[in-house]
Amino acid sequence: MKGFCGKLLEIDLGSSKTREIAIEDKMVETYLGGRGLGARLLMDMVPAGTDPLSAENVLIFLTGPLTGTMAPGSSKFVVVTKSPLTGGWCDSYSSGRISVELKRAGYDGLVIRGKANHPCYLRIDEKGVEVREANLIWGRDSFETERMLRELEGDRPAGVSSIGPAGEKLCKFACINSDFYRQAGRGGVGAVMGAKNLKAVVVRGSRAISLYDPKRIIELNRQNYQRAKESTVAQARMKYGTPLTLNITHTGGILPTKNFQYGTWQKALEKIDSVGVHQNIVRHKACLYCFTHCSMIVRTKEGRYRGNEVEGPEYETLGMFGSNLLIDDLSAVVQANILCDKLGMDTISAGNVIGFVMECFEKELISPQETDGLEIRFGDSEASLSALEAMAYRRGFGDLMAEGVKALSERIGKGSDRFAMHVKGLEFPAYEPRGAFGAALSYAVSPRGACHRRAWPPAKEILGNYPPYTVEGKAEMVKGLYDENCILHSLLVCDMPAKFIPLAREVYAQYFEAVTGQPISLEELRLMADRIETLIRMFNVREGFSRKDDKLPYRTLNEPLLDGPAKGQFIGEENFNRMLDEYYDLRGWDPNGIPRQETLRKYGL
Amino acid sequence: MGSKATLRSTHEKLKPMEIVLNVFGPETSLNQKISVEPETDSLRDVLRALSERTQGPWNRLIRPDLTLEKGCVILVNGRNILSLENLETKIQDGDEITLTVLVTGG
Repeated sequence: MKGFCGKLLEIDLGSSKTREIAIEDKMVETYLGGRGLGARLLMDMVPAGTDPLSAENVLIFLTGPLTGTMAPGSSKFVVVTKSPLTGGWCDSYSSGRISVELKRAGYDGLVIRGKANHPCYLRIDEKGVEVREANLIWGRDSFETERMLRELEGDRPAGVSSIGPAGEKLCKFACINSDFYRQAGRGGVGAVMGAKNLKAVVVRGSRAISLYDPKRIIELNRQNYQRAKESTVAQARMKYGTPLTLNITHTGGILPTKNFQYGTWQKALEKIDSVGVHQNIVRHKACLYCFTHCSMIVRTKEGRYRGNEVEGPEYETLGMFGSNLLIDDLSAVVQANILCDKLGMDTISAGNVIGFVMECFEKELISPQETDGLEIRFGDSEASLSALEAMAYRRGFGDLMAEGVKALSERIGKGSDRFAMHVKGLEFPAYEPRGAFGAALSYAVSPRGACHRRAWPPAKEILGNYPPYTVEGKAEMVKGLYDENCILHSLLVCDMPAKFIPLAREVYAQYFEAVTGQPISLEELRLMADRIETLIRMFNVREGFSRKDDKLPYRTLNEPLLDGPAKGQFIGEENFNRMLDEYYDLRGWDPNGIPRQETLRKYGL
Repeated sequence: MGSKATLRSTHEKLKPMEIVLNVFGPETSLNQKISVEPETDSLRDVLRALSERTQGPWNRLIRPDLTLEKGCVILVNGRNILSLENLETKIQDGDEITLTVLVTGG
């Protein structure tokens, strides 16, 4: 099929043996690519009960049918593996040149098995793969690593993805960095890479990506670029970036504040929101092959760490390191962002863990004697930055923090699990579910743990017409959003242009046909989404997950939110169980959350 | 009975009110306190009074006939008016009205 290379490259780091795995058209027709293909591969390649940090786990980098085709947002890839943070399914997305270079090298993806007996990195081109010594880069941060590897490639651009010290030290929320500032952030994919003694992957290809109808793609881009130019939403989003989201979550009362105790924070306004960040933008930036420049380079003009520069900060970082920690100094948030990028950690999980520790100190559940002298109080940016280093290098109490908020709360005990904000071990992102009840369901049923990318919380309940503090219709709402994003994440395009231009699924079906030559209907896409989500559920079921794991922290279920439009709201056990029942039913899963036999038959699983 | 009588009676009783206006669009403004004298306490009349009173970034999101530009919504105290009473939503002194594009992305 055009658009695909028809094969994956597999390497076993233990033996250095490589092979090519054919991707037949039938596979694409059934699972599309990206998330969908990853679901099939992970299910087939990882034996049940595999330790995520063992040699038996696989680390899969996958592209999709639209990768590198000039369709908007098409330089994305997904890393699929079994998560060390949750013990279940993990898909973690990133932009990065490596996506396009993999296809140019002739591969739709890369499957990494085994464990090298010494630190190494992979160098891939159309001739194959080399396993190279990584002694000179092991121990270095992601920025240094990438700089050194790019120098070795000379003038020609290459795709480089690497881990920082956090990945090497198996911090459970270590990420994989690409193009310096882009991360496959969630679920600890960097720890899986570190456990394999793999520091980086460098890919450089020179083949053209085969397209069925390149003229049609250009024509579609012309039309959609025009739409973007005329869209008020796109203009706002490209000017302000994701910091604009902070204004909406604050207004709607779902901005996580003080470890998810409050839903608004006045002090964030004009400091760490769209207005505050905009004053520090140096230039706007687009990802490779995308005509929407929705990213930005920021250099801070004021604050304790003024003069520091980053691509970002994105909303999640502003929320998790800003309002959630009561830090209103943009330069401190940017510094945290830079440190996380360099050290190779997910800013969401890292911010969440620090917020939890701050609350433990506030409630006097821990003392500096128990934390090797590390004392972090709400609003203390310096201590927060020290904590990042401690987590990445697993120094002192940082060693325990690096296990994630679930393990940390289990160790601290004393009822701290009531405000350990996670699902299945994955830390909450920057949206308070008590102000948008559908988000509570969305977090709970997500196969990778508390996830904002499957059903973006403000979409329907703050910005849409769904009343936020009821459960009525929320299961259907969440399923609809999940399925829509499942298609985008399997075609493997960025959500952003799709949402802010906006581009309907019909438009992506047009791109798919122009790239592959195969028409695809919305009904087929819907069916694929159902199949993929059920297959991923089956992966987790195989690993022992069920309804008992689709649960929320005590705070979300039982404690009234303390301020804002949603003041006094909490989800409640009865409400939550009703949403779960309805969601399972819509999916064709039984009341325990296990896909029914007829559902598996229906989707050919 | 009339709605007219009711309206007039409301109008007669209605005092000037101060609203807090946010605009999140290609131009953003926050926490702008504006005093208006609407005919009734409906959002429709508050917006009308506002449009007579002031120009600003919000004019890019809402047309003179009070219809919204594509991809824009109105929140009152953080709630989308589509899940309240739409343009008939009652506004009180000190309420926060937000005109916003459909923000997306984290």
